[in-house]
Amino acid sequence: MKHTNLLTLAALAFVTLLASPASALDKITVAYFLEWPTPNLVAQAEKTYDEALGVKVEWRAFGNGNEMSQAMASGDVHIAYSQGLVPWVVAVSNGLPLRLVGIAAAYAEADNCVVHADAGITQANAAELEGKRVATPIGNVTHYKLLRTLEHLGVDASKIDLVQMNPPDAVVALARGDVTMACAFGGPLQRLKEFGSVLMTAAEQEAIGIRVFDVVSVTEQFARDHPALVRKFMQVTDQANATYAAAPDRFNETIAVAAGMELAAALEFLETSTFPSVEEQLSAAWLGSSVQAFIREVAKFFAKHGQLDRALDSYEFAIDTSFLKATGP
Amino acid sequence: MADRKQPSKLAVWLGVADNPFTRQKTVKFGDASAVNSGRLWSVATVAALLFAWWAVTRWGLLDPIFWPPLDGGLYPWDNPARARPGVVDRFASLVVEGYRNVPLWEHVWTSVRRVLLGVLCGALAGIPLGFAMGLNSVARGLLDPVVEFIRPIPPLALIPLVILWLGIDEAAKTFLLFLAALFIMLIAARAGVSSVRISKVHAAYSLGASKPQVLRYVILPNALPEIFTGLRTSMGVCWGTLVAAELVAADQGVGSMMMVAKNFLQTDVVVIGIILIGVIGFTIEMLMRALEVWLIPWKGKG
Repeated sequence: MKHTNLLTLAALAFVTLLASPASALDKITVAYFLEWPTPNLVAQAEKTYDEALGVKVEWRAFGNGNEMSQAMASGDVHIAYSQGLVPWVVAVSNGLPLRLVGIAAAYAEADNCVVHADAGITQANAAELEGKRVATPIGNVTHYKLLRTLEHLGVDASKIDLVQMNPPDAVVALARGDVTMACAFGGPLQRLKEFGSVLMTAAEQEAIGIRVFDVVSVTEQFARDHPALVRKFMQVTDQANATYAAAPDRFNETIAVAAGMELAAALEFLETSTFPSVEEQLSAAWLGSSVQAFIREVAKFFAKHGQLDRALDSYEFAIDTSFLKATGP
Repeated sequence: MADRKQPSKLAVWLGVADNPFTRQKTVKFGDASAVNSGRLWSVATVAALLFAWWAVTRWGLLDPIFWPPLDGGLYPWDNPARARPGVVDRFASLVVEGYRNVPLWEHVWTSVRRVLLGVLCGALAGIPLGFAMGLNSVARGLLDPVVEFIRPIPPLALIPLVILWLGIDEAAKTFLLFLAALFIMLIAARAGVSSVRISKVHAAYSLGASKPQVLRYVILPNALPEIFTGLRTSMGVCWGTLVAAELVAADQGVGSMMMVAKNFLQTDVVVIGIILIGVIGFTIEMLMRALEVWLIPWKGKG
């Protein structure tokens, strides 16, 4: 008797396992970052997404945007809220069917490189970084910013010993003095600043044309099969941004908890970052035209540095603003 | 005698004909030592796999994101702008230009050096400790709780601590590999000591041998086969640990190369890394087997 029960159970479990892909639309999976306090975390915590979309929305934390791309390639993740622009460009250049459907956040202040206080390296003698070891996540916005900054300061990036480290690990490496400079985004960047100072401030970087923003991307198949869900997702996000902007103090606590951060650290990110509204995203400053131009620039830059095998001539085919346009009241 | 035709050497090597040893066997099924090498089928397997890869490339059956083409020029790209190198042409460019300013052989050598160093350190520490545990009750009592506690912990679980303690340099990576090798070597040495036939030890003592002489001339040579098996096992486990250890702070080495390539979705480089690791592991195993035959010819005859 016991035996048959066990067998039935095993069979049932097996069937459930097999059946799960077919009934995938009971839930959708969204990739996000921890220590990345965006206003829509309120909607995440209060299950506003689940209600509006009518399906269970599962949030999965990732270490960097490239890991998001890979998970989306396998079809397990449908939406990435907020994927760095660079991982998106890398993915699309390599033929991954991802669609850019909106801009999530601009965060120039929350992504930077910190030189160890003992190294005595500033912009004036930045060339001394050559031959030293630098930690950065590779193939993402942080990496792009680093390379552009080095180029601007006349440092030969190929002479730097670049090691791939995700932000939390980079903090440990800089604290121990294993690396001369560490680059990171989000909460870990603030911890990095305890051990040194930034090589170039965000304002200085913006002045030389480095833009830092994350996008909302979806898999092509999901956009095609479930356009209504994508539209509603963008709608809820936009509402969350607007609600937060109207009364930030009411939500800061919730956001910090959801992001797994100290309140002060979350506040610093929230205050220095911008979350463009739908109208702003569709304006010339963003998806109206300038983002497209910037994407081509990023792709060409990485192709020049040999990180991408080739840059596409145009990325317009992978940008779909129809969902944003349809969110209107 | 004369009526039995001798099979050609090639047929014996390929394993389609019985070799002089298996020819003597009367029972064919059930006696593992009567089984021929079957090399013909090994060759056929490799050829079939390569052909499948070629076919998949030629007719574009798999998206290059998931499995890279054998050669970029062979794949029917629907959009020429998306064309990217395959494994063969990428390998050529890696050999000539290297990956991330580091030549391919240097990536490979870095990895091989780390594994050899890890196994060597593990053996240097593990063999004496294993002997001590096998021969002395104080040593066994002292070490047993520590060994049995740490042994089941996978070295990778220690990565967070190792970064904190040893940083991200060679020391950290070697330490992880050392840990992986240490316990295998320790257990192998201990098993080696217990596998020595007691009659041999008695014989040596009755001939007037001192303790050091028994250790040097009886226990060590008789424990060597087990130790060698331990070396081969730890070499394999170290390759498994290496790739993960190199992911910690990817700079050089085959594992690092794969990690960075992954971030740029260069599946071809990842597959090259996998093939390289397989080939190197295979080569090392073959060398170890040859070394074993050469160094301890008495294996399995004691």
